[in-house]
Amino acid sequence: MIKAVNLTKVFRTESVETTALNGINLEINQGEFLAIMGPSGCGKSTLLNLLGLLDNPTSGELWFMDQEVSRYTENNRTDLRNGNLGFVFQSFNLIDELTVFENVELPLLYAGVPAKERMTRVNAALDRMQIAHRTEHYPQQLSGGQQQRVAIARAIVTNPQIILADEPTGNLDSVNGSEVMNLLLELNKEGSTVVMVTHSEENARMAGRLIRMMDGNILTESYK
Amino acid sequence: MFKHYIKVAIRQVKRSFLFSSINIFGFVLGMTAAFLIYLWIVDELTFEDFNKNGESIYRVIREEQTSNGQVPSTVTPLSETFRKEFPKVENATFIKYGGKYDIRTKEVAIDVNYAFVDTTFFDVFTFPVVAGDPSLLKKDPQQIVLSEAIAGKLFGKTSAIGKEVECKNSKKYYKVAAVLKVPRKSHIQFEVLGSWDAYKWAGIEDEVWGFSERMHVFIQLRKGNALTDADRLAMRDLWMKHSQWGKPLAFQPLKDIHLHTPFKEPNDVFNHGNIQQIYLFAVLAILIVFMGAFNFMTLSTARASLRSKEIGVRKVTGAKKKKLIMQFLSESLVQAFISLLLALALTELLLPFFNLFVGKDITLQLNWQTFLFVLFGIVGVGCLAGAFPAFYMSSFSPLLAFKGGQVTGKKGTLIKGLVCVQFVIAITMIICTTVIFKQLHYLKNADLGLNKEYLIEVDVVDWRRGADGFKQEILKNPYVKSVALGVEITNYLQGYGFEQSMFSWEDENGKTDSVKMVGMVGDSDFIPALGLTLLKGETFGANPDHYWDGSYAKESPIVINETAWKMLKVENPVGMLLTGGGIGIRNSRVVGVVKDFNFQPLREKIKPAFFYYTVQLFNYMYIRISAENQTETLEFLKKEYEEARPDMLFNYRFLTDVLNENYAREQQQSQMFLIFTVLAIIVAMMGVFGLVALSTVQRTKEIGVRKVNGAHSDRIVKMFCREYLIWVGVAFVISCPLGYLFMLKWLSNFAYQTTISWWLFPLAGGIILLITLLTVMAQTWRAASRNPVESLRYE
Repeated sequence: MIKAVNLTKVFRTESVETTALNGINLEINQGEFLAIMGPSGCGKSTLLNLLGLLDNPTSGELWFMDQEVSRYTENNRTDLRNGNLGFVFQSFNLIDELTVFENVELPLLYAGVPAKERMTRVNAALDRMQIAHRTEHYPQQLSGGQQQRVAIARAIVTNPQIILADEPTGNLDSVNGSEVMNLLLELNKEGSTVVMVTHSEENARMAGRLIRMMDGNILTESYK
Repeated sequence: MFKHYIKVAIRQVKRSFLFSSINIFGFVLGMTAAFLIYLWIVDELTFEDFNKNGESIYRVIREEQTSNGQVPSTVTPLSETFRKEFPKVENATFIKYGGKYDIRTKEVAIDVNYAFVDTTFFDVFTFPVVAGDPSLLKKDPQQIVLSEAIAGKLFGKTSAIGKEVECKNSKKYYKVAAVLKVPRKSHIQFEVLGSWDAYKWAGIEDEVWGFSERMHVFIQLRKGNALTDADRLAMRDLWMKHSQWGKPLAFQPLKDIHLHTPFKEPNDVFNHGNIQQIYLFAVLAILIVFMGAFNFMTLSTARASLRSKEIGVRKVTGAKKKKLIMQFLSESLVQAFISLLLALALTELLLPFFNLFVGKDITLQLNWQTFLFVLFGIVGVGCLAGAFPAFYMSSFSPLLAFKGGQVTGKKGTLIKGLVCVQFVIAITMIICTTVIFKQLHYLKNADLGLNKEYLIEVDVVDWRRGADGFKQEILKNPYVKSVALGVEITNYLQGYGFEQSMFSWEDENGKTDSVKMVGMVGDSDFIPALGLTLLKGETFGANPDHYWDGSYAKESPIVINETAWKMLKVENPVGMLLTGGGIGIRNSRVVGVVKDFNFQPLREKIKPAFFYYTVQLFNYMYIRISAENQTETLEFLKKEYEEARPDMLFNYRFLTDVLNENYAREQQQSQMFLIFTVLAIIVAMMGVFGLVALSTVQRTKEIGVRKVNGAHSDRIVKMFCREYLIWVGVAFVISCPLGYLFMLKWLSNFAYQTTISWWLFPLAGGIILLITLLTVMAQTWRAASRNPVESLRYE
């Protein structure tokens, strides 16, 4: 489904050159639950961004659903992301000016889905995340756990094949954290591919496959 | 999608209320100012619109350029000749402005401005008829037409049509044929119109081809015809063919008269405008709109980092650049729309005051001009303000969603640059306003070389010998200081028409030299009564007997001014005999020289001039009264005058009032400029206020860290102030030459100019600096004096 070949990402400023990813080789298959661990600054988020088509690599190949995408423009990548990828962030990243419903509706709006269908799909996603009673609320009126459930609803409303989660439990207490993890596991069971960056050993252990990173390299790779 | 944009835009306004208010307030002020100016310009551009034949009417003017610009007046018989000899000309007509005439009914007597017209006048010009039928003038020269205001004064609410009025001057009775509205937007203004034939019977002139004073001819072309060069050439020589006084002709479209009359003195163009002024205020309107738009640009761009999360999320969830641009543009359009509604309301509210300022009666109407402005207001201003932030913000990388967005250095410079541009505009406008006010003050208070205080001018038409007795009589009153008879000096002071005479003489080498001088008529008391200083010789000890026995016609004594003396190029001109002179005089002998004085508006340099004695032109009396007891003295004069001349009304005006009227245009201009300068400053300072407010939010962490490391609150305030200080400084350096050059250009309209003093520049810069620092300090002090832990925790 996703294949990285010798993937390198170098950040340059005027005086400093930082190699964030140093020739990563990785293949992710459909239906996998992959967890990425490592200390701060090891490049795990950079890797997730590349896998999520949010950024282009400096060198190497990136195959996404049988297309080599490493040189795609921002617009091409947007097209590819739309409907195929769903994102969940540590800080939820909901838009404060939009209601719960409108936040979840956003990807469908940009994908040009008709209003009626949007309504059905958004409600279904919210039902599933057990947050349907909060549709007209604004993000600030929700607890952290509720916000993250809205964010997951937004990530899955387009029925993406892959869900990318960047420390999804990082801002949550343990109860809400495990609830979110259960939701991700459930989605994975239903067939979604999940790639998750995490600091938590406990959460990482729930994944089917775990890679540990250090200084832009993959150190170890283990399966459950 | 569109609904989504609008929804988000409205929520943005609500959420960031302070910044939206600043944006909207800036827009509203800018749009209101621009709308007022726009309405004013539309008004200026639609003069003569009430004339149904407006497009095909031309005014016949002289082609020649004199030192006084073009001269518009021509002669009456041209009208008939044009009608007869040029088939392209559908019609031709003329108007001859008279002076003040005394007309009365049994109950009321008033002085009115009289004008006489050709029989075809109302076929060409379509003044709105209130009552009656103006075409009756064609058949019966004993009919007259009244303006609505005069009809009201004479007859009150009763109908004027068919009623008789008496004209005291011609001692004749006339019947009112019609009452007309005289639109403000007409260059022809009258109170009473009489038939030219009636005027002719008064026996004033026979030499029709030579008499052009205040006479204006118009032609109306047939539909679908245009004036070709051949036509113009044929028409051009028409006058010269008939008279030695004839001049080549030119043709000015009716619609051009109001704004494009290149005459230095707008001879008989009433309510005249000036295309330069239109350009000036159009630029001003655009500048103020720009300043409002700049506020939006700077604040939106500066706030971009606060919105980076939203932008990132939108991009990650599938928004392409185009859609984001649309979204951000719709935000500025929504704000522009809200602003425009408020601006329209504010305009409606301010119009009465604005009308007072500019002397118009503009109303807000739903017409295509308003629609055009609304469309431009929303789309133009919205896009102007929103385009940059929209393109800038939509180009954020989606990764910013994860990183929280960064403020790059380049953008900071751009924002400061825009603020700097606002400072430049504000400082330049302050410089211009102060110079304009200074010049106005100078014009009003300049030493004209004559004593203008407590001098009144009284209309005494046609008194001749009788006036002397009256003069002696009123001089017995101790509050009457001096009395003289002469020509209407206020006319000169206001820059209206005057006669110039050619003088020639033989210089020491036996060559003939010549000079044109402006002639002024006065009696022997005229020069001292006006407070002029005699430099050489004496005033003419005028002897009326010499006038009446004709010896003055052969050799008339004249007093010349200093400028004329210089032109004569002799050491002592007293005693010099010159060929030429005032009307009907062959030779003149210089008997005295007076110090130069400004007998024309200060836009003009002093011309060579001479005084001479012609009893028949003593139409005005000049009486200097004491500063004390003015009301009683005026009462006394009125009583004496009306006793001496029961047929006349006592009409007087103070010279100082006339002089103030003179600079009404400059006064109006300076007031408008002041209003818009204040507006510009408010808009600019709101921008600064918003920016500072924003940067204290964005730099909360920096402030906290600085404080933790030992910075006092006042140092932090100083740090913020210093940044703005630099930009005010840069703006100041740019504005000084700009303001100087603009004002140098503006002042070149005047022959006598105030100085552009050095202190104006620091004053303008200082005002902006002070307001800026106050704004910055008020905003930053709160943030800087907060407990550092709070700022860090907040972050």
